[in-house]
Amino acid sequence: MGQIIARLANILNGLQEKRLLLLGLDAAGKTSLLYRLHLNEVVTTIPTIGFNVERVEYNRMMMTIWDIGGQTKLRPLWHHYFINTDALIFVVDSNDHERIEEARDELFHILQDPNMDGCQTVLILLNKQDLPGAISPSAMRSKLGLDGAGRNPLMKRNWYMQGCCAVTGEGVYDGLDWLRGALNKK
Amino acid sequence: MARAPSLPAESSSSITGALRRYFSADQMPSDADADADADDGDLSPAEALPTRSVFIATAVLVGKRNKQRHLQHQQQREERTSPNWRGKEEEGGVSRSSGGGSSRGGGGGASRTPSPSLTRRVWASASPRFGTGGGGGGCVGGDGCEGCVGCVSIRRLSSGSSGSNGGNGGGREGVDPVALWRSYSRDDGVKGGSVAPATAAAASAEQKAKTPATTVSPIARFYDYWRHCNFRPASAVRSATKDMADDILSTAGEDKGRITVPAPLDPVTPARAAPRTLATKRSRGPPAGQDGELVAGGGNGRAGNIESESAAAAAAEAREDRKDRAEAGAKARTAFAAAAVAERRTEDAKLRLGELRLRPDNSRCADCGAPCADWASVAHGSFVCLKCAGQQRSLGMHVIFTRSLVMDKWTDESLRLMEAGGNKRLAEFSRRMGLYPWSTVEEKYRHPCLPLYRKRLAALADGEKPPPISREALEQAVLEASGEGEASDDGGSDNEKGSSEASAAAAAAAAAAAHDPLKLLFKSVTGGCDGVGQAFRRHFCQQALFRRTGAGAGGEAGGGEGGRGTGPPRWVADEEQEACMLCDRVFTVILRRHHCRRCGRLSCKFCAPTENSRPILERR
Repeated sequence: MGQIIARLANILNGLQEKRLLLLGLDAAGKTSLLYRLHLNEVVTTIPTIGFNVERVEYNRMMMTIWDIGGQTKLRPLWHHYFINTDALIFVVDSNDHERIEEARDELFHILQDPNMDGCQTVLILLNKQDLPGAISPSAMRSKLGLDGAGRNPLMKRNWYMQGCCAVTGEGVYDGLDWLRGALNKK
Repeated sequence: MARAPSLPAESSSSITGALRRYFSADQMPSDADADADADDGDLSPAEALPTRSVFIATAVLVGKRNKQRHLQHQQQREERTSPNWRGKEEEGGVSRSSGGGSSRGGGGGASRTPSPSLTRRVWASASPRFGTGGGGGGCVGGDGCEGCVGCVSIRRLSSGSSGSNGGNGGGREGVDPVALWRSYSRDDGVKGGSVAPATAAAASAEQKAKTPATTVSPIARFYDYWRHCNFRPASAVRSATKDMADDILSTAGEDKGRITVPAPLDPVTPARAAPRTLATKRSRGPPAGQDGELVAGGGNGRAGNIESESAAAAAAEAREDRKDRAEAGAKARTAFAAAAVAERRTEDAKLRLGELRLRPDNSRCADCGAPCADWASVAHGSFVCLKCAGQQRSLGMHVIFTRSLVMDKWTDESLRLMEAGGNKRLAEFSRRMGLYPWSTVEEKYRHPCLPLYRKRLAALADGEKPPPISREALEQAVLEASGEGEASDDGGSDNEKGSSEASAAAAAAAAAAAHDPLKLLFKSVTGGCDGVGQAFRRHFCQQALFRRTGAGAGGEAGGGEGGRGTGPPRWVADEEQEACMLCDRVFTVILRRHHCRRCGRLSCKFCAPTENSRPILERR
């Protein structure tokens, strides 16, 4: 009952309920990012086995963020979370030069899933931009194969790429601002 | 460990009685602080044994037993993993009864011959008793016990191909349980505790002739048994999958007669059937395109030619088509075979990892000693627990590559690293570098000498000669590490050098300091220390430095800490400390003492590592 009232209050206040999915390869920084948003703090995380869910309010938008573990064996389980997703946040470790292709394949794989047809907003966060060996967003764009006219599942979607750092919090909120705008437009 | 309550004499006698029932009489300690190898028969009266010392004695006993078990376990493992092991066991005969049933009650079960399934069932019901009794290292699975995270994952891992595994504690299919139990009950000379002699004389004699009689207590026996049930040797699993994989692999080979590829990939049927239909269509159907034009333009005489030409062209096309299809088939086949090989490789890698993980050195987390070391820090070839893996990961995934033994893909390269490494090797190196088991993860893995270890490990994994741990190599490693860390500082000092002479002198001094690797090492090791245990660590770092430089550390080394850096750690007695040795919280009724099992110190519950705990997020 209390929950219903709270939701009603939210609606009256103009709060939007959004369901976001936070995915990416293992050790990309998904959990750190989630708790950066939730607690505005840096936490030392352990590899996520299963998932973390937090409700984060940002700029009159109530986001329920699902952060799901990214180990190889856990990736086939992602699709269980796809239904009713409003937006996808895909986190890429920009310091991990060897696994960029793997990340791209996973991203495309996610977006080709029929359950993700409803999700037309994709935010790609390039995490760990503070490290010296990090790939810049412009370089990453070509490395992920997103700049060409080649057919990729992002072509039909509204997407945005943002470099960020979960430890310092830099760029994270810029990405969220874009996300809010994109979701409102829709 | 909490202080043992002082119980009245009666209860102490009952405890001793229970103990005596547990352990065989000849292994009971004759005195409170006697070793396990005391002679038999000389049991002092039970009342004379204070409760507390009984507990100590138990701890000693269990410790000794664990050591013994490890040795025996290794030996038996070797026997079992040898190729003719199964044959041997089957020769032994299934008709001999096992001690499994009789071990439940206090010698209640006489000799009987249970079927394998019966034995298994009996074992499942018998296990809780041992589960509570066996206080040995690691977890002892009871009936409902799923085992610790590590055990569960390894079990899952080793049973990968054989589908679902049954219940715990002997629910495994295959020959192992009965044969195993039989093999453990072969030492009839020692009727440990409640285990009754239940073996056919002839067969046991045969067994005895093969292996020398050893003294194994029921607890050790059960523990061994349980381990074997859960951690099946990889060879057993492999043999099950081997045939299948071999079949697939043979298709990649030369002889194509034996190829049995699934129907859609079969090169024969489409290659033959499809071109034929194509050819018939072309020859019978209305001439189209080029042919039609040619027919219209030319006379009848040429028509025949054209027809024959078109037929030839069609035939050629058909031939090409056939060739294409055959090629496509071959390509698909090789792709299929490659996938199969890759699959088998990853399976092999996982099995190999499971074997590595089972070694006694690797059975615990390299950092905190928790028993669930099912993650790996690949760059160091060490096995760590989930929590420490997380902490290491936060130091930089590009340097320390942490992977899950179960949930990640494994390449040959990283597998080789794990094979070359191992917790023992890393511990040895860290010890030499003046690091301690209780150093924080950051201190350990940001240590300036660790890159040298990584280099050595990589060289070992590649089969090359590793760079030696010489003074020069260490100095270079330290310099390299400091160069990376202070690159920006160097740039700044360069600019200053141009501006004034004083700063140039300072820079020179700094450079001189930088070239004293020991000082650098000291700075880097102690610099990161803050908060809990700072004084401790600084003290030990100093000692380590003194030891390395040869400066007199004698006075300090033998001092109050019991030379913890050099010798084995000392078990700090409960009475010695009134406060946590790490955070100085005073122990009270609700804040109990905890002994660190690695360094022997006393700590409070806040400083004691929580083993096998649920993932905890630590705020930095």
